[in-house]
Amino acid sequence: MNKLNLILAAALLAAFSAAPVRAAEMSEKEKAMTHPYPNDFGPETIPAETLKSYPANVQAGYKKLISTKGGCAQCHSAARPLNSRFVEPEGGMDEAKQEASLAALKKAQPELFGDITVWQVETKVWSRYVKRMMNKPGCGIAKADGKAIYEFLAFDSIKRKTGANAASWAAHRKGLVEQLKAKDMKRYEELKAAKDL
Amino acid sequence: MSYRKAFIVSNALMLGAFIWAFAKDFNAEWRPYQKKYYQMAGDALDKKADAEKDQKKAEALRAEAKKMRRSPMEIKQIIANDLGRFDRCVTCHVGMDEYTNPSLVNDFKENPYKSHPKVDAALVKAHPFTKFGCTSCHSGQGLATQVDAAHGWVKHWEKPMLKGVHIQGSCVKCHGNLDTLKGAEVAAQGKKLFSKHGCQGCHAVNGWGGVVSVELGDIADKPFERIAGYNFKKIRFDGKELPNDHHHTEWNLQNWILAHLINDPAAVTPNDPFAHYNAEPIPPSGMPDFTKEISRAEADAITAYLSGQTKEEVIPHRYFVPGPAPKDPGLSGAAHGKYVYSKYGCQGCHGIDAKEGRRRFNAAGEGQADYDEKMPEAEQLANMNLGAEPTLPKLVGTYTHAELVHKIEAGVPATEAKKWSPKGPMPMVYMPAWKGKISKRELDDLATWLKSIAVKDDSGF
Repeated sequence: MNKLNLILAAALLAAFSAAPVRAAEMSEKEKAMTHPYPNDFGPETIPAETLKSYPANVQAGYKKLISTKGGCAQCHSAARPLNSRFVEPEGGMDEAKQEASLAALKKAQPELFGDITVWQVETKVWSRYVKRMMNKPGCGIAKADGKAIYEFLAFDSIKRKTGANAASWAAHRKGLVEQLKAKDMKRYEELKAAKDL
Repeated sequence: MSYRKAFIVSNALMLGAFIWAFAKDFNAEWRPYQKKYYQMAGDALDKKADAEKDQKKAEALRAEAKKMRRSPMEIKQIIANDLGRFDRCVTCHVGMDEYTNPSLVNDFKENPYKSHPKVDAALVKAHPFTKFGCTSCHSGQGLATQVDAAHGWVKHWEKPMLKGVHIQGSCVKCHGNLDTLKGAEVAAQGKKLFSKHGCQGCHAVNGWGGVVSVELGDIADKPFERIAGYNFKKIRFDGKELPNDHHHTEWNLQNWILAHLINDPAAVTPNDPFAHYNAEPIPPSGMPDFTKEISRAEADAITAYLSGQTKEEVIPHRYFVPGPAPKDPGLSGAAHGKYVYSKYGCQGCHGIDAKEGRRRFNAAGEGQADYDEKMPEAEQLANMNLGAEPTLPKLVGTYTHAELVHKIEAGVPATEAKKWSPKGPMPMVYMPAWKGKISKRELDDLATWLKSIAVKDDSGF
């Protein structure tokens, strides 16, 4: 073997031994980022002062959500629900009341219904999603915890995404969409085509 | 050595070679069979002559018997040009040679002397030996004239004679009308079972079906060692291992297919989930365990059906028998949706009638212990095996109709699954995107049926 071959072999060996973390060992967050949503580029927590203003039961739901042991963050980054476009109208478990709130929102804040990439206001939307996640094999989120997570998401969606916070939310959300567009155009186009941005 | 001596020695060697070749041919394996057949056929004619009252006819039979006993010893073959078959099977199976035995019938009970069974049946009449040869239906090695070689029970012959009901796989090669074909009932049942259990959800056949796993339209052509390798050692039939011999005749394609249905495929193809031999962990076969769903007879039927899936054999189009176009089930709404679920093989992953999601190795599943990397590998393996596909009635109630339609259209990539062991392999089975493969009406009805089987929501929110 001549000198050049030896150098090539050594370079190849070095390249393989310095290989990055094996694909099989990707964290759930890393895996999620292989098919990202705009949500994934946002923060994984909400500001402490915002959280402080929430009722105790809602704060408990938040803690469960961000937990990597038995919470939502065991399977995906907490950024995914926290930066979601979903807004569930007020009204609690009563769908009729939610419908009434939805009608009121349409009147008071028509801008919430103009751009689906920023706000998707829908009755029971968080209820459905939390239950969907809970029913995935091996999720293991107990009913009581699921309810607490739902209560947080529904409450938080109104507080941070509508009313006085609507404009800042819109800026935040549009920024996330732009980030996805800049970082992964293919995925952006895919989600846009599927109306799932 | 002088030239003269060299000449003498080489001549002697050549003479020796001629004698050896002559002796070898004289003692060829087929000769005693052919000789015995002529003897037996002669005896049968003599017996017939003895029973004959008409003297002239008796004489003719005795003359025929004499001629039969004096028949020349020869290699006999059927040349089925259209199918590219040159079958010498009738060298030993003389009773099936229409030149020696024009009636193709005799009273002999044993092979290779007996005539072909059911020669009067429509099945055999429709497939004259002179046109189809032997191996186009039976497989084996047509040109060979030794018992083991001719039956394909030798090294490197990958299409040994088809045994038992597996021979019906040969009908599949030409018969589009398999579903109603007399004599091919087992293969037809195999086709139905293939669909019933949702195999087509992952495996396409001739371009129709899922893309999750290999296309099976040419499964009968695949070099079985390439498919299986030494995983044949992991196969169990009635709890017993196959002979531990790479070239043993039992290491064949039929047994490989069968093994996937009567064994847990994950045990047959365990691969390398702990990355002992590879840079990345490789999950076992993603095929579900059908051992509790499919009986041995049903597994044989599916094997027969798949044994006929060949592209390698060049069969002229005039040999094909078309079948009727698939019938419209004449259903609508949820009932049609249930039919659609089965038609596209959704049950391959989500279970028959969507009752229970099947195994999805190393995905999260019910009953798993918390992951601990110090856990013994056997225990980790057991937990990885508890990974499952979603059980749909639990899940579909959390979707709106439109969301369900979108989900089915978009599919679910493998990366969306949560792994039980972070260091273990990526759960390999995924849901392909069905957009463009299922019609809008089918999708709507499928979503309607799925919504109808949703379990009652008792979550309290």
